[in-house]
Formats: sequence, C-alpha cells, structure tokens
Amino acid sequence: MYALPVILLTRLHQYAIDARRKNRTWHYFAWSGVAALIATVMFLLATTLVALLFYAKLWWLAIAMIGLLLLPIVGPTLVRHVLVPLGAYRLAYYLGWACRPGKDPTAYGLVAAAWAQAVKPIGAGEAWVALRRDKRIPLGDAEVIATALLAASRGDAATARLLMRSAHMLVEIHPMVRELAGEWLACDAAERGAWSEIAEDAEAARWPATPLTYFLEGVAARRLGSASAPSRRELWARWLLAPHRRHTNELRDAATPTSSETPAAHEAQTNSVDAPPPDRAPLPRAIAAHLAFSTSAPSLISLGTTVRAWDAALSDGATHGWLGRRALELDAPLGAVDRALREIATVVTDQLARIADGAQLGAPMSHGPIGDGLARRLRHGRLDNLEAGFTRWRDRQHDGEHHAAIDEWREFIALQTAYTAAITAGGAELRRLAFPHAYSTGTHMAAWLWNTRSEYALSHAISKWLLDEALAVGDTEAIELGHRNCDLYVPTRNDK
Amino acid sequence: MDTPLYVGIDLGTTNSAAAVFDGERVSVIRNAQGATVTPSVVRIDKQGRITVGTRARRFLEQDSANTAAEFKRLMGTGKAIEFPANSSAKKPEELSAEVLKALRQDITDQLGVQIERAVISVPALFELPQSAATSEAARLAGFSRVELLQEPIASALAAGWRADDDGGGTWLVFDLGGGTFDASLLETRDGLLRVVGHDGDNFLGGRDFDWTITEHLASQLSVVPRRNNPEHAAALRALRLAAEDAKIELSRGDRAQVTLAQPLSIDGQDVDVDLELTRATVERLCTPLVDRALDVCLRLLSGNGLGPGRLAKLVLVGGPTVMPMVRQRVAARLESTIAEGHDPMTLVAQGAALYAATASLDGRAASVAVPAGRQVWLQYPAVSADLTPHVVGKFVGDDPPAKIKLVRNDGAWSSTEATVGPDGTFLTTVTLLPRRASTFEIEARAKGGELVAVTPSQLTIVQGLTIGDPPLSRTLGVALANGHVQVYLERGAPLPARRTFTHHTIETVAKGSSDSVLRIPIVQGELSQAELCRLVGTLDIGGDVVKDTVPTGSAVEVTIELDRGGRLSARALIPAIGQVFEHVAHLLVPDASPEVLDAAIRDLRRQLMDLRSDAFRHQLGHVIEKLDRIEARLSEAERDIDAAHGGDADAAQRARRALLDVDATMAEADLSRKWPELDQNARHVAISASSTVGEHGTDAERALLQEVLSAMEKARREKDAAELERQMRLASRLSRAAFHRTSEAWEYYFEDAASEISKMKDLPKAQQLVTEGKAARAAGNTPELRRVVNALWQLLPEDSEARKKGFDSGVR
Amino acid sequence: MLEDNPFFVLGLPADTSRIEIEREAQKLLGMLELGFADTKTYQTPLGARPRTPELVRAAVAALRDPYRRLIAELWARHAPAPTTAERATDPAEPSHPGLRRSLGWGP
Ligand SMILES: Nc1ncnc2c1ncn2[C@@H]1O[C@H](COP(=O)(O)OP(=O)(O)OP(=O)(O)O)[C@@H](O)[C@H]1O
Ligand SMILES: [Mg+2]
Repeated sequence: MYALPVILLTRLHQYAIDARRKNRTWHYFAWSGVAALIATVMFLLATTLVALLFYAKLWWLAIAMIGLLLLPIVGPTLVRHVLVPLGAYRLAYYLGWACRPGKDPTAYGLVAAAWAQAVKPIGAGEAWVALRRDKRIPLGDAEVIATALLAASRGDAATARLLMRSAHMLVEIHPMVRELAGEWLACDAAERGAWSEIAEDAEAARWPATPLTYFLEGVAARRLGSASAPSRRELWARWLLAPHRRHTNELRDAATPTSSETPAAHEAQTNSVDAPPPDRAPLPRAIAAHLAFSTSAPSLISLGTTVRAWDAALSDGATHGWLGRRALELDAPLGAVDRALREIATVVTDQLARIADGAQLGAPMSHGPIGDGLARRLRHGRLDNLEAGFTRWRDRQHDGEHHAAIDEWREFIALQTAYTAAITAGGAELRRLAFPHAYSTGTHMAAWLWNTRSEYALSHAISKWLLDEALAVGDTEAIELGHRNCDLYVPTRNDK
Repeated sequence: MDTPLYVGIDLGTTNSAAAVFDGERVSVIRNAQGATVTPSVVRIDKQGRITVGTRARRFLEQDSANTAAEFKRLMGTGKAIEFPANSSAKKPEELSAEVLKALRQDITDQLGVQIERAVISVPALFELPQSAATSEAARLAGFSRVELLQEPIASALAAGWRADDDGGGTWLVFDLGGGTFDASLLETRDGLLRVVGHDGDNFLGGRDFDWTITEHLASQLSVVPRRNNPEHAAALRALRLAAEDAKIELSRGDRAQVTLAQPLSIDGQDVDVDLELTRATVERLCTPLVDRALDVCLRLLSGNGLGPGRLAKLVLVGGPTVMPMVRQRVAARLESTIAEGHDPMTLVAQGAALYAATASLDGRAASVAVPAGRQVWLQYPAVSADLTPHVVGKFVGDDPPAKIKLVRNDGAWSSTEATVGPDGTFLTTVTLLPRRASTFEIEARAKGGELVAVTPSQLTIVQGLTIGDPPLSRTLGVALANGHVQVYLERGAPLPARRTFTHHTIETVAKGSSDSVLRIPIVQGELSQAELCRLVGTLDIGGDVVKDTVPTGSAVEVTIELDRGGRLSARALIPAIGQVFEHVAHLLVPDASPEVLDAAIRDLRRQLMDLRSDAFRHQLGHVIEKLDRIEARLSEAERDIDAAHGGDADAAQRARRALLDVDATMAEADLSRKWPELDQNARHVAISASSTVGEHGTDAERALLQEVLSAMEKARREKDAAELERQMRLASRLSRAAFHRTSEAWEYYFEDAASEISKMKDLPKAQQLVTEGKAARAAGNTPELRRVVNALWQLLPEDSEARKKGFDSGVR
Repeated sequence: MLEDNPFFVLGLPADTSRIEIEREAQKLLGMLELGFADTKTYQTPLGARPRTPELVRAAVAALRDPYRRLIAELWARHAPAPTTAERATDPAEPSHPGLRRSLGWGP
C-alpha cells in the first residue's frame, strides 16, 4: 500500500535529477526545486513512518525503512559531505552502491571510494580500490574516472586530468559518475585559472553539471565576458545552490565586480615580444630575440622573428668578420669559423625546436638555413616520435606482452594526446602524413581489444577516434571501415 | 710536517713501473732485482704460491700453462684465466692486483711507508668496463683510493715537467707499447697542458714485431709450425720468446743468435733451433709495422690542421721505441727532433706520480692528527702553473681569528694580512717560487693581535706544469629508441662529470607487470648511431618496481655521473610518479669466442656481397671504393680469427674490434646505397598511383594525390629519405583505396590470400572461408568476397618490426 | 649556450686571459668546497643559476680549448648583460592555489 507512492516518488526524484543534468538554462533551477521538493516530501514521509514504526516497537522494520526510503535521497549527500572528507573509502564504496543510482550501482560506489581516497590518501586504500576496479571487465567510464582520482590522490594532477577527459570518449555512461568527473575538472581548471577550459566544456555540455560545476561555469563565462554569461543575480543563485559556499564566495565576488570594469581583461595574455632596438647588429639582435622566449610565451610570430633574426645573424658579414678575427687571435685550429657557424646553427635549431614543441607551434614560414632546418626538424621529430610510440604499442601486443585494460587505455590516450599535439602544431599536412601509421596500429589494436580482450567500450572509443581522423584527412577507405566498426553495437553494463 | 709522497703506477701490458714524487723530485722505484720495470707476469704454482715479475717471466716458456702474461688486454671481459696446477682460475683484475701488490711492496721496501693512494695510468682508449676493472684491481691490491689517468697525458706531463724551455707549442707523444699504440697531440701554453687530439691502434705493438720475427724464424725451420694449429702453440711460444730476446738484443748489437736449449717438438718431430738474426733483417721485417703507426700519426696531425715539421716536441715512449730504427724513422717522417733524456720505459709512471700531486692524492694513509689549536679547512692547488694562486680557507667552529697571513718558508715573501669573515672564511693570494715547491706558514691573529695556533700550520704548493682535470677518453651517452645517441659527456669532458637530460618514454611501463621494462641503454663511442657504439650499462625500470603505471610519453630525467676511477653511475627520475631509479647493470666487454666471430664474419661477408652487387648495379664508384677497403679489413680480421682458433684470446679481441669497425663503415656504405633504391621505388609508386587514382579515384583523392606527388618531388630534390618514405606511404594508401573500388582487386587479394593458406592460424576456418570465397567470386559478389578476404587476412601471422637498433631503448 | 656559458659560470668578462681564468676557477672550486655563500649561484642574462663544481670544471676545460672558447665568447660577448633577477613568473603557477582541495576534491 505504501510501496507505490514511495516508488513513484523515488522515480520522480531520480527523474528530476536526470532532467537537471541535461540542462544548463533556467530549467536547471526549476528541476533543482522539484527535486528538493520531492526530497522534502520523502523525508517527511519517511520520518513519520519511521516514527510510527518506532512507536509500534517495530524498530528493526524502522531501520530497514530508513535504508529503503532515505538512502537514495540522502546517500550521495552523505558520501560527499561525510564519508569522503573522512577518507572512509570502504564505507563510501558500500554506501555508494547502496543508494542504487541506475542499473550499475557499483560504478558509483567505486568512484565514491576513489574519491574518498583522493581526499584523504591512505596507502592501503589505493590498492583496495584498484583491486575492485580491475575485477570489472570490460572497462567503462567509472573505472577510468576512479583511476584518475587515484592518480590525483598521489598528487599527479596531470595524469588525473588526462584520464578524466578520456572518459568522455567512452560510450558507457553513468551520469552519476560523469558529473563527478565534470566537477573535478572544473575545480581543477579553476584552481589553475584556466577559465576558458571550463567555458569550453560548458559550451559543449561535455559533462552533466553538478551545482558546483554549474556555478564555476557561470564564473568562467563571466570572467571571459562571453555572451552566454549569467547575470549577477543568476550567479548568486548558482552560488546558493552549490556546496562549499564559504570557499566560493570569493570567486563569486571576483566575477561580479560592482564597478563597470569587465573582468575579461584579466584573462588576456600579454603576447608581445620585446622588440629589440633596431640599431643593434644582427647577432645581438638574434640573441636578444632568442632570450625573449624565457620571459614571454612563444608564438608563431615571435618564433618567425627569431628564426629570421638568426638567419640574418649567421649570414652577416660582421659575424663572420668577428669570428675570423677572434679565431686568429685565439689561435683556433683551421676551419674553426665554419665549424663554429655550423655548430651554432645546430644548437639554435635544437633550442628553437624544443621551444616550438613545448608551445605546440608549427614551423614558421621562413626560408633560410635555420628556417628550413627547423621546419625539417619539427616535422620529422614529431612524426618519428609518433610512429615510434604507435609501433611500440603494437609490437608489445604482438610479443604477447599484455597489460591490464586500464594500462592499455592509458597507453592509447598518451599516444592520442601526442598525436593531437603534433597535428595541432603541424597542421593539416602533417596530419595527413601522421594518419596512415596511427591508423594501421589503431585499427589493429581496436580489433584486438574487441575480439580478444572484450574491452568493447575502449575498442569503440579508439575506432571512433580513428573515424574522426579519417574524416578529417579524407581517407575514404578508413572512413568506410571506421563506419562499419563504429556501427557495431557496444555492450555495456547499463544494458542489463 | 714531513714531505708528501705522490705515487704513480704504470700498469702495462708487458711491463709495469712505479714512481714517486715528493714535491721536488721524481724518482723511479726499483724492485727487489734492482730493475725499474717489473714484467706484468704472474705465475701460480701447485701450492698456490704466487710469483710476479722477472721470476715469473722465466716460467713463461717452461710452464706456460700456469704463467699468465698480457692479461691487461682482457681487463673488463670477465674472462677467467686458468691455472691448472693449482686448479684455480683468476680474473684479469685479480692478476693485475697481484702486479700492483708487488709494486706496492717495492715502494714500502724502498721508502719505508705503506701506500694507500695512487694514480694508475690506463691506455687512452680504454672503455669504461676496462677502467672500472683497473680500479677494482687497485682495490684488491689494498689501495683505498685511486684515480686513473690516460697514459699519453702522463707521458706528456713527465716530459714537460723537466723541460726548461716553456716555449709552449704542440707536441706529439708517440707511445708504442707491448700491444697498443697511442699517438697523442698535446699543447702547452702558460704552463697548462691540454690534450688536443688523440688517435691510436689498440692492436699494434712490440708483440706484433715479435710475431713477424717469429714467423720469419719459423719459416726457416725444417718443419714449419702454424699459428692456427693448437698443437703447435707450445713450439711457437718458445720461438716467440727467443725472438723477443733477440729483438731486444738487436736494439744494441748488430746480430743476435737465436738458440733454444731444448729442441722444439712439432708434429712429433724434434726440431733444433739455431738461427742467426741480423739487425737489418729485423728492421726490414718491422718497418711496415712502424709505418702503420706513423700513418696514424700523420692522420692525427692533418686532422688537427698540422703538417709534419710543425711539432715543437716529439716524445717517444714504450719498449719498441728503444730500437734505433724506430727512432730514426719516426724523426724522419714527422720531420721533428725527438726530445732526449726521457726514459721511455718509466716516463708514464713518472707522469702519473706528478699527476698525483696535481690531484692532491698523497699516497700515505691519512694520519689522524691531534688538532693543536684552531682547526682550519684549506683549499689550494697542490700544483699550480700560476705563480700567484688563491688560497681559500675556513675556520671550524665559532669565534674565528680576525686576521690571517701566509709567510713563505724562505722568508723572502709574506702575504698581506687577510681579514677573516664572521663565518670563519678567508681568501688570500700567495706568490710561488718558479719550478719548485713553496711552503707557507699560516699566521693567524685574534682580534687583540695575539697569535693563534692553527692546524694545519703550513701548506705546500708546487709550481709547474698542470693539466687540470683528466679528460674523458670516449663520448658517453644514452641510446634512444630511434637508434640515435643522446650525448651526455663528450670526449674530453673534465672528470668527474655529471649531466642530466630529460627524455620521454615511448612505451608504457605497467604497474605490477614484470614483463614490461623501460630500458635506458648507456653507450660509449664516437658515432651517432647507437648500434655502432659500445653498450656499457643499462638502467632498467621494471613494472614490478614502479609505484604507478608510467604511460607512453612520460618524462624521464636521466643523470649520468662518472668519476675519475672510471666508475659510472646513472639515475632516472620519473617526475609523474616521483620515483628515482638507480640500479645500473654494468656490462663487460663482450667475450669474443672464435665461433661467434666466425658467424659474425660470415654475416658481414654476405652483407658485403649484397652491397657490392648493388653498388655495381647502380654504378656507385665511391661506394665500391669503400667496400674494397672493407674487404681488406675483413681479410685481416679473418687471419686474427684463425689465430683465435689457435687459442689467442688477444687476437680474438682484436678481431672483434675490427668487425665492429667494419660494421660501422658498412652502415655508412649502406646509407649511400639506399637512396638510389628509394628514389627508384618512389618513381614506381608515383606512376602506379597516378594511373590507379586517375582511373578509380574520387575527385578529392585525385587532388590529394597531386599534392602528395609534388611533395614527393620536393623530397627527392632535397634527398630527404624520411620525408619521401612518408609521402610514398600516403600515395600507396590513396592508390590502394582506389584499387579497392575495382572488383579485380578483391579477386586478386583472394587468390593471394588463398595461396598462403598453409601459414594460417586456424586451418579449418581458413578452408571454410576459401570455399565461401570461391562461391562469391563465381557469383560476382564483390562485397561478400571482400568480407572473406578480410577474414582470411585476420588469420595470417604478421611480422613484428625489428627494434634492435637502439639496444631496445625505451626512451626518446 | 647562455645558461651554462663558461664566462657566466665563472663570472668573468669574455676577454679574461687564460691564466686569470684558471686562477678564478681554482678559487671558485675552493670556495664551493668550503661552502662560501656568495659562490653558490651565478648570473646569466636569464637570471641566477646554481653553480656546481662540475659546471666550473667544465667551464675551465671549455675555455682552454681555443675553438670552444671562440663559441663561448660569441655568445657571451653578444648577449645582454647577466642579471640576478629571476625570470617572470611561471605561467603554470595556479591562480587559486588549494581551491580544488577546499572544494572537496583533495588531497
Ligand atoms: N730495448 C728494447 N728494444 C726493443 N724492444 C723492446 C726493448 N725493451 C722492450 N721492448 C719491447 O717493448 C714491448 C714492451 O713495451 P712496454 O713495456 O712499453 O709496453 P707496456 O707499457 O707494457 O704496454 P702497453 O703500454 O701497451 O700497456 C715488448 O714487446 C718488448 O719486447
Ligand atoms: Mg706502456
């Protein structure tokens, strides 16, 4: 008799939360309100019922009722505000499982445990969580996100970031888990001041938004001065909805300045290179331009300026004259001048290549010995490294040396990251050259992961990526195969 | 304070010597027999008694099985030398340790002090394992600390020390020893000695003289013994010893008699030996060998932009340079005069002793002095070319004296009063007496002006030639996955040295998986291709020790450190997981068994044939020339391998080296050959892609191909092989995609795959597929045929790409 | 080339004589060994860098070789003057340090 309204209310609550996750408009507040309302009703109902049962001395039933009625509603709050701060990973795991969000409750439990571990790292906790993760085959988003949190618990934020982001490529979707990934990424980006990352994620609605994410997205949009930025009042509302208000009010205030100045100016990077005074000779000018990279972020323009400065300096008569005279005075061996010029060209090209690689810049359009050398270095260096990495991955598999699924995934995302970095810097031309090799290894590995390892989600993600790349470079054959592979049905835990 | 004692030891292949320097004079140590050199020969008899030196050398003939010589050449190989009488085996470093012990005892006998620290000279081209083995020998001999110094630097230091003219200029040290030849170009300027260049032949020396003479003598016997026959080894050994004695005799006399007390037994026959040898004969036989050394010298000179006749000084070192013929020929061909007055047999040891002073390596055990007064730490050069060097010091403890002054012992000079800082530090300058030792008393005064007693109370500085830090003899680096070498320490880098570089991994090290290992190979050599360098150690990071999985592309900071004793250490830090790995597996000089060498030479011969026919086909004149030179070296190596079969371990090592060299030259030739082949391939690919894509390609593909073709043209013009290969791959893909649109393509692939059915993994399934395929072909069902072909391909085994070139390196 | 330029490591102008270089290096090595505070860093146009005995040794060895001295001079003579000023703040520095932690994501 009681069961029906309870099930109905739980469903309704779930529905409201799910609806909220899909939204980033005023509906967000509406659904939040609905969810809160239902939660209150449920809470009142449950407390009355429990009180009644206690009164009837049926206290064991009362306890069961608490579990049944209240956990789905207060469970996640308990996890977030009590168990995680305590670092109680085991309890978080079981409670997370017990509040039964969706078809695969363990997924949330696993991430809750990893989260607790991330907040209060305990030596044994990592192994405990990893063991539970490795038992879950095939791999899905929860396992990847849990691994990311474990990396974060070790203070390795870079790895955590990469892994979190990689979860987006997987077809298995646990919204409960995904929204946590989104929140972690938003908090991490806010800490680094990388507001544009948050805005971009929000724009693409990459992750379901928790109230905290939603607030940070608002801050980001306002700081960047984007058109979709929330009003002052709306930001206040988002702030009110989100937890940890004590720590976020500073962010809110910074994003809602009372004066008329826009916070957008804050973000703008100073990208100008100190222009060397024009009266200097070519060699000092080249060295000065080179040195400027240590104080300001390199850009394609400044790289081009430096390359041209070097080409001018090394062909300059004054440089040759100085070298010749000094070589004579120092009694340097015959041919020292030519050797010196060659050596300097090599050193300079090396350093510029490193700078360009670090900033993911392409080769500047400049034709001179240094310009050409740099272009060749960058292109081959990047392609060689990519090919070596992909080859090694496949060789290892071929040699029968298999890693745990999560490690295979990490290898793939590392390679993919390198690939993306290389093509971002090298442009469409390099992308076309890099694709065939990545493609042949990638398809091979995707097939192996699917057929032999039953890692459907991972395999699908690789195929999907390859298809996107094939579309970008217009490789008809790869596109055809890619479509066929991606159209395969991907079994996940959410099917059951 | 009594005078310091700096000890230098020349641990030679044939002879060893020791010398001491007391700050004023260098003296050579004499052994119990009164000789300045001790043969590097060790004998172990049945009772396990060990004899070293001249007394052991006598047994080389009688009891050769239990008497070891020339073990220096096997240092670092880990090869044990058997002593059957005592049924024991000793490693080369243990035998060297016996020689060192004997020399150490001689020093104690002569000077009455126990020596703990010394400088030991090593050949200029010693590799790290060999140097490390030398340090180990010293440790076994009871030395607590040694530093190693290259022999030519020692010779130059000794020769330059006594030279009264400090004119400077370039000089050549010509060191022809028992088995190695070293030519070093040095320069002195302002009292500083610097190595300008070095060359040499690790396998040229007095013993080669001996062998040519021995062969000459053998050819005159009634039965001729052969080197590749192990049964003739004993006879040849006896003959060789006699030949050596005769050779040494002929350095003074004009003719010598080669007579053996007992007849040789060859092939069961007794052969009497009673031959006469003239100086002229020996000179005729040995001239080609001397010329070989001279060729090396001329190459070295021209490599440094010097012609003959431009040398300020020419120093001859080593036993064979005693021969008048050698001296005349060297002086004539290098058009320089030989510096006289140096003992070629002990010059190296003298230089090592002088260097010990530079390195402040007092040979006596550090005595625990009872501190009387204030203790002060001093830093100053024990030997200085500079007449006015700095002295830096620091008082231990609080409340240091206020002023300090140094007074020279001869009373003719004293420093200005230097102020001592509140932290006890001070800095002052002293003035030295030229070309001798100056001792200074330390006068410290407290604030009030009263004298404060300090320990030590004086310091001594010798003014003379210095060399700074000993240089690294061979470039050291890390092999990368692409087969190149990242140089860490360049040849000539001052030791000790340390360098760090950041690499990136190219494979994942999975936590907990012992299979997955990240390998960082450390190599030594002058070539930029890793496979042509020597692997001297590896630093392995296994999945079983990492705290977390280290994915591809992770940064690894590798630090390599090398001390003056040839000890290498390396450290890798992986910042992502915050872990440091330090365990370096040190490698030995690879063993050269004759069988391995046989296999290697067969392999090289085959490669040579391939290259040759290719070179002829493409008419590459310069490549053919190079190959001819390789051919000559291979024949030489073959002779050595022959001798190796006869039990000559040294010849085996020489052959191994020669084969390595050949390998390097061959790789070069291979590169210059590859281009025409690639160029031709590129042309074919371009033609076939144009026609296929033109016929079956889409518009987009045709446009793309046009771009690729022009990129290929550009790469061909610039001779950029890597670029050409990549563009070719693109062209092939385009052409394949177009080809796949035709039905013939799949029929063709089907035929092809069906013909390889025997190699397939799952035969019944393959047969089933072939049947299906045939049906599809008959029905003209291309999509179905395509499915079958794809399924068949899955069943084919595939090749894993070879990656041995970079010693399996896991970093880039 | 500039960060570990021998002249900057030794803190000497590019026209220093050989003997002067040796003397200075020997002094620096002694001072480093005894832990003199003011020798622990050297100035480059890119800011101060830590000085180690290895760097000093490598610097003298380089300046003894005329060819390598030529290269070192080329850089040292044409570069802006060395400074102790540290380079501009690292762009990677977090703008809200500890935020992630206070928002409940530790550690
Ligand atoms: N007076 C001499 N005349 C000719 N040859 C001699 C004379 N004395 C020694 N030799 C030869 O010199 C060689 C040994 O030379 P030396 O002692 O310089 O070599 P080592 O220093 O032991 O060898 P290495 O320098 O290669 O380690 C032997 O082959 C010996 O026969
Ligand atoms: Mg010698």
